[in-house]
Parts: sequence; structure tokens; C-alpha cells
Amino acid sequence: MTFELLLFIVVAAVAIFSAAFMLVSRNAVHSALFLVVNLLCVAFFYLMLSAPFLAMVQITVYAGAIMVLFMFVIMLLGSERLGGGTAKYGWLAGGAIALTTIFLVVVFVAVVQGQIGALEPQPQPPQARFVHAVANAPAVDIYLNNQRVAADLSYGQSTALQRLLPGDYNLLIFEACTLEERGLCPNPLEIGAAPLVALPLSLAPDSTAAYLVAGTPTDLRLLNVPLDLTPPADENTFRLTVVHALPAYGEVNFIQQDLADAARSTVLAANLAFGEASAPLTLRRDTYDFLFENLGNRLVALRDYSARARTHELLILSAAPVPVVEGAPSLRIDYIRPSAPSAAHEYGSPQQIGIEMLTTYLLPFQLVALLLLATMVGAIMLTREEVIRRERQRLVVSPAIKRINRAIPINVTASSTEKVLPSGEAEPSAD
Amino acid sequence: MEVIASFVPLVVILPFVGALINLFLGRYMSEKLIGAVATTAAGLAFAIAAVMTIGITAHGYEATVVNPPLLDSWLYIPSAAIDIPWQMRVDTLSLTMMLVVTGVGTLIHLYAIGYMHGDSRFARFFVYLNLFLAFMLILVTGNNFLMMFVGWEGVGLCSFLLIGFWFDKKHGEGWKNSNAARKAFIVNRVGDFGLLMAIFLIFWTFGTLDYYKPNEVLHLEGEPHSAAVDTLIRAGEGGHGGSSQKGVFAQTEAWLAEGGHIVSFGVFELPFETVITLITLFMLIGVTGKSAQIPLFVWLPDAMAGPTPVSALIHAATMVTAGVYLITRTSVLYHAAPLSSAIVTIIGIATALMAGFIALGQWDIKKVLAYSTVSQLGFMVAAVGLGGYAAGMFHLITHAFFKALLFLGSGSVIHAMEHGHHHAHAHGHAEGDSHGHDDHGEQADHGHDEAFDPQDMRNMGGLARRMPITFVTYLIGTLALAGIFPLAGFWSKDEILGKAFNAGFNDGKIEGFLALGVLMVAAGFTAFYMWRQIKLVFLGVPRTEAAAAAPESSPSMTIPLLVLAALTIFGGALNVPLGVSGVLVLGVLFIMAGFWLLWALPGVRLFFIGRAEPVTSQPTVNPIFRLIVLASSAAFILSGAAIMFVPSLGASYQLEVLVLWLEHSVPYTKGLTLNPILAIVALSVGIAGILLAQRVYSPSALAEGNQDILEAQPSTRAAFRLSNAKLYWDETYGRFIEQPYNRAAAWLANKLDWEFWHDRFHHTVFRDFYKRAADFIATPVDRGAIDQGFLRIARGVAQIAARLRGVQTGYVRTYVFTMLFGVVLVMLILLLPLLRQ
Amino acid sequence: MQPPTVATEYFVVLSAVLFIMGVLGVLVRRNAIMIFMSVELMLNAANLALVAFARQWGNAGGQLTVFFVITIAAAEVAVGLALIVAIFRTKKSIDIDELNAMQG
Repeated sequence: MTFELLLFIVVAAVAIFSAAFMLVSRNAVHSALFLVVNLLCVAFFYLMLSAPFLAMVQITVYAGAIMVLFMFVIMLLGSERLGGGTAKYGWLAGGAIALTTIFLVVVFVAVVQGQIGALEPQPQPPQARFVHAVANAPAVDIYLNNQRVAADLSYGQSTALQRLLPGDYNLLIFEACTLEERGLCPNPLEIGAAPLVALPLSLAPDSTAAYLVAGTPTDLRLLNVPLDLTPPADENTFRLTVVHALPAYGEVNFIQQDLADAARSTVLAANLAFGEASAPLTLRRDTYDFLFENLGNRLVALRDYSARARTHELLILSAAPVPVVEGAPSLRIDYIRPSAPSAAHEYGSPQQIGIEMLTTYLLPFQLVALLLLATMVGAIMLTREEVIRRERQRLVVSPAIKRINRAIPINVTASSTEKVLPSGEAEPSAD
Repeated sequence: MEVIASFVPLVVILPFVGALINLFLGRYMSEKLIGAVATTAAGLAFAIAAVMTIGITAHGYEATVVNPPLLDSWLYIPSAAIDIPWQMRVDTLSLTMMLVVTGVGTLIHLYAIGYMHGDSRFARFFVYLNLFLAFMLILVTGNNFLMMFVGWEGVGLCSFLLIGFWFDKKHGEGWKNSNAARKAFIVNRVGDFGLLMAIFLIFWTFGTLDYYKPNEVLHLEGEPHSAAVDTLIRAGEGGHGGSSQKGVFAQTEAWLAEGGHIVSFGVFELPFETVITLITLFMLIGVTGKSAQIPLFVWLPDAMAGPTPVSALIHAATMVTAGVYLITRTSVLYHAAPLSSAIVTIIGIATALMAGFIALGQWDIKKVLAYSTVSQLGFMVAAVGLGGYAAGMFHLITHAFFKALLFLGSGSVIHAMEHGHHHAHAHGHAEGDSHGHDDHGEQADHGHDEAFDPQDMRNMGGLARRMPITFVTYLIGTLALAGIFPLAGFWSKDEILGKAFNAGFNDGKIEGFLALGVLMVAAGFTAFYMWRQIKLVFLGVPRTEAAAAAPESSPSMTIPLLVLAALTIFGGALNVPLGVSGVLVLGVLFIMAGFWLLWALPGVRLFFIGRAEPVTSQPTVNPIFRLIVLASSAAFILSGAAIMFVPSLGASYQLEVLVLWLEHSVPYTKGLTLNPILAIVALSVGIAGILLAQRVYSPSALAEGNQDILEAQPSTRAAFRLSNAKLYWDETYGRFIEQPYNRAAAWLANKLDWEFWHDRFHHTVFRDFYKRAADFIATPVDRGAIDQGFLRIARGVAQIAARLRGVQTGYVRTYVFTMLFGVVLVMLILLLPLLRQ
Repeated sequence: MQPPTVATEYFVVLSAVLFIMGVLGVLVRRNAIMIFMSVELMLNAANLALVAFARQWGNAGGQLTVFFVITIAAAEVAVGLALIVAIFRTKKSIDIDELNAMQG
């Protein structure tokens, strides 16, 4: 029995009792107030269920606006005291109780048997981003089977995080089409262009990864670097993955330097071979100095490095092309820091709700707004005085109509010469 | 020649156009204009025919086949192997017929303008006339049997329309006219049956209906040839060996030459010669219908009910000659079927004799001419039956001239008689006023002798003085018909007799002998009854006031008479037989014409005939007119003498022109050398006939009581009465054909159809049964069962509805309850598998 | 996201109970406003279930749905109360058993 469960039981009891009192109370105002209590309980439940924003909305809108409206009308109509009166349909109560009992039983049984809690959440579609880490390679277009996932990706650039369908793909890398702006790029698959490289790639559900195209132009490889974009446990920390994508170099060490004191440098990742990615390192948000070294040789240093991403950073050791100069090497060692992927917001937070509402649920949002507008107009129109008067007139039933309606015979005789209004017909009402 | 011949469609189209113009615009045109349109159409057709004649003469008499535009494939049914184009043939035979038809036709059109003056349906008459002309021309210009048949039927139709033209004559006369028209049509139809059978047989046997295919030529007598008709590839036409289809006649010749050809009719077979005989015999039936031979001649005398121009054109000159044309055209077939030719001859001579006999006893002026026509047609038919195709055509042409002349003359006489009748009984009408009445023969408002027949010869007499021009032309026609030298009839009749003589004595055919004898007797009859007619009508004294008051006819009527008289005189020059000095003949004719011209002078007339009482007002003769007449007369006489005695002038005159002409389109045409003995015998028979008639019918033409002289004499009374009764042909037909037919038709209609089928069967079986069935279905079934069923359904529905209505309570809470119920139900259903565990 | 400590089943059962009570209220009470409030109770129960499941799956869509439901409930209340006011003005009673104009 955790504290939470206890809390839950208490508040649930309050909710149920308040609902019961609401139903039983003779005074409408009392009923409304009990309903308010019920709503507040429900708001508490929302908080328990990691929906703080919704809880606030519930309190503000439901308890604060709707119930107030109810109060207004109750006061207006002066129906605090209700007449008892015999219910015309006495059997309704019994039948209602019977049905509701059945309902409850069904739900209970379903809950028990259905193992709701044990159900696995649906797997999320995989997310992927592609990074170009091959020096001296031209800009590329990357195709997964027939779908283009990266367009005109040059060295050092990366795509955004994309949701893809899980499955096995054929990664095809073509030379980039330079007419992109003009929209005249043909589908290289259609025109039978030869890909620069074709690599198999399989995407598993629930996976998030960055795919690096690394190596030399003649020896291209695909490096799979898994990413973890969930919010870190400690807000102050971030994850860092280091990838060795520098061809023709042996094992590399990744060192956090302490410039003041060389002895206090720590090796964060050691003996990274070409094509290998380190395990995600969790670092505090701070300014760092990093160093890549290989067999004691300094390869490249990073000064005043601070994390940009919220959750997971990627650091790639690679080579960058330089302008050709006589006698000078054509490459220099460099690193790539792809831009930060967007992370998910915390579940239930207003940010997440806001982003979801305004991206996925934008259309319902607009429609409901229109509905509200219509409702306002409708409510005003309904309560105009002439409408009331007209309705009052319409509801008056003329005695002639009453008589005629009463006289429609149930038994239609064969001969059409009988009178339409036979005298002495009983009331044809069947109810 | 192709270019000239390509106008031949116009020959047909022009009369059609004339007919159409008069048909649609006739009501807006004056009589003169209508007549002008019609006559112009006919005249233009004649002109085109004349031009084509000149053309064909210049091009060696070659036949041309013309395909009018738009009608190339008239009947083209490849699956039945039928390919009959609308092709017209321009050869000497068709041109001959065209000339005769359009020439005589034009003259008669002109005549009819005056004759039909005042008629209420003047335009319609000319429409029919032009239509007739068009159809007749289709008949003679067709290059296949089907076109000929179209024309054949068309002229039959127009004959019907024209004979019954006065169908609305008062006092029951209209019925007579329409009856006569129907008789003509129906009797022709019987003949058409024969012709149709012949056409079917031709198509079956030969596979085509064309006379000649365009690339066939005829070989003339004397040319070395294997068949009379042969296929020749004309120079310039590189043999398009496409269709080896030959025309009917070429195939006949080919098959006859190879011999032993069999025609299969599916279930049986016949040798080719037998089929030819069958074809020709069937055609003969058609000929007897159209050309009024035994046994289908009975329509011709009745057809005299139509206006006289109709009688002249159709029943003397053109339509009735269609049969003779047909036999001439199919000379190849008849030549190959000697049996049929013999039968043709027999029928021809029998008709000639019988009709001649009947003509002796007729009182109506036109009936005499009608039977004379039948008789002369018998001559023609006999001639072509004997193989004398040119002779038959020659007689056709000359007969057209003088018979038309005679008919028109009789029309003139009838016209005059009517006028005379009116004026003799006119109250306050000025003499000489010849206008103011419309229908001919109408008794109008005079109310005098109910049955004055202006055509009865007993009412005439002495008309020679009153109508000199009519008299002299009629006289010429009579003399020509009687076969008096040197008029046209002499030559043509002599040709026929000569053919008969040759057939009998040279070829040994029995029908030749028969023909010679019978035709001689018929010629005698001809002369006799024609002179009798002259005596009764023109000579003597007028027997009625009408005759005494008859005026000469207007120039529109007399000019055609004069033209035809001239043609009659010179017609003989067309075909002077070999052995005669044609130059002499021509000279004599010229001299005769010159003397005849003198008749135009009143003084000459006065001298020969005497003054007519009362005096017809004759204007004083214009001296210039007298001079012209004298001069032209002298010119003719002198030129005649010159031709006779100056050798070079007449050297180019050809003998046997017609034979030479027809040789090129009628195979087996032969010429004739004059047999002088035969000629003299024929001439003497003719003269004897005239003298005998003169002797019998003097001093007065009629015996007491308006009886004929022959009737008065007991020895000849029976014969006369028989002749007058037309040998009881109509009565016989009536008794043995019409009455049984009517009785059968009446029985079928009344007894079988009406009483049995309609009354008994329909009423009892159908109607009563139907009524009872309907009643049954209506009352117990429909009202009882079906209605009840539906009513019960309706009631049930109403009851259910009443019960179900209860669901709509109107109370919200019940609705909510129902919703809850539904929700629970759905939940149960969805979670049932879960709950079951 | 922390693993849920209070199991989702509890919330579901609670939601069902509250829903039932709302239904009973709709069926039994005759006052239109009471019925309305019962309907609100039902809506809340449903919302609770939605949020519970949203938390279980970690899917924010559930919360957003609740958001919309609340909005629409507000709209519905506005219109409904306006209707009730109008009816009251006409019939001087908000007893729904009397709100029956059917004449059959």
C-alpha cells in the first residue's frame, strides 16, 4: 500500500460520495456544489496521472466556468426547491438500476480479466538522422529504398530527426542533384543512375539512432549510433556519444582535458577504433576542453565545449577537406557536431500539450473554436424574447387537432365507405 | 458519239420536269403556258433524239450505252448476284422508237392544247401526258429488262390515269370512264404477269437482265461471223477481262452455238432451247396485254372513253407498240424459238382478222379506229413473228403516223359535232361562238335529247364540206391505212405481206401461208370499214342538225393534222423495198404532196367538194397567201418531176433505209425485195375493199331507221350483228371469268370471312371467352382475393404501427434509458470474448 | 516517465462508477438542470478514463482529447442552459416529464 494508493482511495471515496450527494440532494444549489467537489477530485486525479496542465484546465474551465454558469441558471430559474411529483415512469428507476448493475459488473469483469495494466505500449516508429562524414566526397542524396531521406547533404551536414517505418531498407547514396531549388531533380532510381554506395539498413521499432556515412569515397561505411532522447534523470546532465570516423587512423582516445592541470585529464573513451562509437557518456552541463589523441599524437582539440543539445550530443572525429595547395596535405583532422535533435518534452507538460495541439491536433482545435463561436451565437439567439413568444404559441395545441388525432382508427376496414370518425372509438394511445 | 449520247437522260428527264412543273405550278399558269411547257418538253426531247440520230449516223450506227449520273448501281445486291444498273441504250432501234414517240407526242401535245381547252383539269392532263412520255422513253431507252419493265408499268399507269380522266362526267358517264380505265389496267396486269415470269426466267437463266453489255457488238447480215451478237473489245479499251458476264443476247448466241446447254431449276432441269421457248411465250402474254392481241385486247376499245389525244398518243402510236418493240428487241430469243415465233404469228393474224371483222359493224367513230388499231397491231405482231423485224417496225412507224392522224381527225370531228350540237340548240347564242362550255360531252344545261352521242357516226354526214382540212387529212389517213400506193401504208403493209410470202414459199413455214391469206383478207376488211367510215362521216348529207352546224376546228388542232398528213405521205420513203426504183417513188410522192398543198386554196376545195350549207364564213383569200401556196405547190411538183427524171438528183437516195438503220441494233434483220405480183394483189385488195364499200353504202349511207345497209340486208344481217356485238368477247369474259370470280369473292367475303370467321369464331370463341375470363379475373380473383389480401396487410401494418408508436413517448428519460440499454448491449457484445474466460 | 504506481485498473473502475452514477442521475431525476449536471458527471468520468489510459501509454493524445471534451462540454452546457431558460420562460416548468409536446 503505497502512499499514492492510499491517497487515491481517499480521494476516490470523496468523489463518489460527492457524486452520490449530488444526485440525492433536493436543493439544486447543493447539488451543484457537490458537483464542484467532484470536479475538484477529478482534477486531483489528473495531477496524479501526470497531467498538470489538464488539472488546471479542469479547475479553471469546468469548476470555474461551467459550474458558475450552472449556478447562474439555477438562481435565475429559482428552482432550488423542486416539487416531488410522481414519476410517470416508475419502472424507469428499477430498470435503470438493473442496467447499471450489469454495466458495472461487465466493466469489473473486463478490468480483471483484461489485464489492462499489463498491456505493452505500442512500439514507437523508429527515428533516424543521417550525417555526412566523408571527407572529399561530394554532396549526396540519400535514399532509403524509394524514399529520399537526405537531399544535397554535404560534408558535415546532418538531417533532422525523421520518423520512418520500421523494416529493412536498402540505403542508396547518390550524388546530389544540383537542381534542387528548381525542382528539376529526377529520381535517380527511375533514370537508373548508379548509386555511389548501396548498403543494407534495418530500422527496428522504438529505436532512435543517427546514421553516419563515414569512410573514404572508395570505402563507404554506415555507422549506427544509437541516441537516447529521453529527458535525463538529472536536469543538469547531458549525454555525449563520441564516434571515430577518421579513416586510416588507428585507435583514438577521447580525453577531457584540464588545461590547468594535465594530470587531472580524464580519458572518457579509450581505444576507439575507426567506425566505433563510444557508450553514451553522461556529463554535467559545463564548459569542457576535449582532446582526441592517437598513440600520443594530438589529433584535434576542442576548447570551451559546452553542450547545446538538451539530451544527447554527438561528436564525430573526421577529416575535413582543405583547398588544394601544392605540397600540402589535402585533408585535415576535424570534428563534426551535428545540430541538436529535438527532444521530447516531458510527458504531460504544458509544452508537450501545446506542441501536440498545434501540430497534430491543429484541425480539431480550429473546429472546436468554430464550434464555440457557433455555440455563443446560438445561446444568444435561443434566448431572445420573440423566439420564446413564438415557441409559446406553437406549443399550444388546438382542441380540434386533439380530437382528430384521437380519432385516427387503428383498424382500417376494407370498405372505404365507412366514416373516418367513427363515434365511440377508444383512445388509441398505446402507451 | 459518247458526248452526244450522254444527253439521252435528258430525253427522259425533260418530260418528267415538264410534268413536275405543271403539277406544282399548274394552278398558277394559264392554259397556254401549261400547254407550252408540256409541248416544249416533248419537243426538246424530240430535238435531242434527232441530234442523237444525226450523231449516230455520223458514227457508223454504233450503239452507245449511257450511265446517267447518280444511278450507277440502281439495284446492286452482291449476295444475290444482282447488279442491275440504270443504263440507257442509244442505238438505232431505241432512237427509232424515241423519234416516233417524241415526234408524234409533240404533235399530239400541240393538238391537245386546243382539244382540252376549257377543261377544269387542264394542267393535270398535261402532267399525265408528259408523265406518259417519260415512262415510254424509259421503256425504249432502257438497256435491261427491268428498266423496260419500269417503263412498261409506268405507261400502264398513265394509261389508266388518262383513260379515266373524265371520271367525274355527269349522268353516270363518269363510271363508264373509270370502269374503262380499270379494265385497261387490270387486263394489262394479266399481261404483266407473263412479262414478269419471262423476266424471272431470264434472270435465272442468264444471271443478268442487260440486253447487251457495253462491249458487245452486233454483226450484220453478210458479215462473216459465228453469232449475231459477239463480244468485241473496242479499240482503245485494253481488255478489262474483269467480268466475263455477257448480256442476255450474247449468252443466248453463245449457248446456242455450243449447243446442249442445260438450265437447272433446282429440282429439275430443262434444255436451253426449251427455256427460251418458255421465256418467249411468257413474253408473248405480256405483248398480248400491252399490244392488245387475242386474248387481252378487250381493254383497247373501252379505252376510247378517254379524250381523243389520249387515244391518239397512247392507243395508236406509242403504248400499244411497246409489245412490238419488245419482240423486236428480243429478236435473238424469238429467232431461237421458232415455235414461239409461229405462235406469235398465229396470234397476230387471228387478231388482225377478228378485229377487222368487228370494225365493220361499229357505230362509234372511235371504236372503228380502235378495232382498226387492234387489227393493225395484229399485222405488226404477225410481221415480227415471221421474222420481219424491220417490217414490223416499219409498219409501227407508218401506223403511228396515219393512225394518230385518223384519231386526231376523229377528235376534230367529235369536237365539231359537239359544237354543232350546242349551236344547233343554242338560244340566243351567236353563231360561230365556239367558247363557253367546259367539259366535252357534257349535256350541260340544254336539256335536249338526253343521249346525243357526238361520236356516233349515224349522227354525222356531209362533214367534208363543213371541215375540209379535217376531211382531206382524214382521207389521206384512210387511204394510207387501206394500203393505197404511194402512201405509207402501202409500203409497210406490202413489206409484211412480202415477209409472209417469203416465209411460206421460200422457208416453207406453214404459218407463212396462213399469214399471207389471213392478212390479205384483213387488209380487205381494213379498206372496207375505213371507206365505210368516210362515207358515213364525211360524204353524203348531214343527218343531224349538229352535223349540219359543225365548224372546222381551230388551227391548234388542224396543224398537227396537216403535219401528220405530210408524214403519212412521205413516210413510205423510209423503207422502199429493194427492186423498186426509189427515185421514182420519191418523185411521185413529191408530186402528190404538191397537189395536196393546193387543197389549202378555198377555190380548189370548192371545186372538189362543193359549197357547204350553210356557208361557213370564209374570209377572202389573201392574194399573197394564194401566191405562196401556188408557188410551193409548183415547187413540189417540179422537184418531184426533177427527181424522177434527173438521175443525179436522186442517186443518193437509199432503199431500205429503215432496214439498214435497224440492222445495227436488231440482229436477224433482213431486207426485202419487192414482189411486184404480191404488191399488185395487195393493192387491188385494197382498192377492191374501197370500191365495195362505196358500192354498198350508196346512194345513202344508212338504211331506214338508221340501220346499217348490211344489217338491212338479210344475207349479211347476222354477220353484221355479230360484228356489232364485238363477237361477244366482253360478254364471254364476263360470264366465264368475271362472274365466277365475283361470286367466289362474295362467298369468301360474306360467308367465310364475315359469317364464319367474324361472327361465329370471333364472337363466340374470342369475345365471349375473353369476357368470361375477364369477369372471373376481375371479380372473385381481383376484388376478392387480391384486394382482401392487400387490405389485410394494410390492416396488419396499421396495427403494428399503432403498437410501435408507443415507443415514441416524448419523454427524455425513456430515450436515455434506451440509449443506456444500447450501450450496455454493445459493451456486452464487444467484451463477450473477454468475459467468457 | 515514471512507471505508474497506481494501476490503471483502479482509475477505470472509478470512472465506471462515476459514470454509472451519472446515468442514474439522468434517469431518475426530473429536474432538467439536475439531469444536465448528471451529464457533466458522466463526461468527467469518461475524461478520467481517458487520462488514465493516456498515462499508461505515454500518449499525449489522450490528454488532448480530454482537452477537447472539456471544451465541447462547455459549449454544450452553454447551449443547453440557454435552452432550459427558454423553455422555462415558455412553460414555467423544467420538469422534463412535462416537456412533452407529442400529441399522438
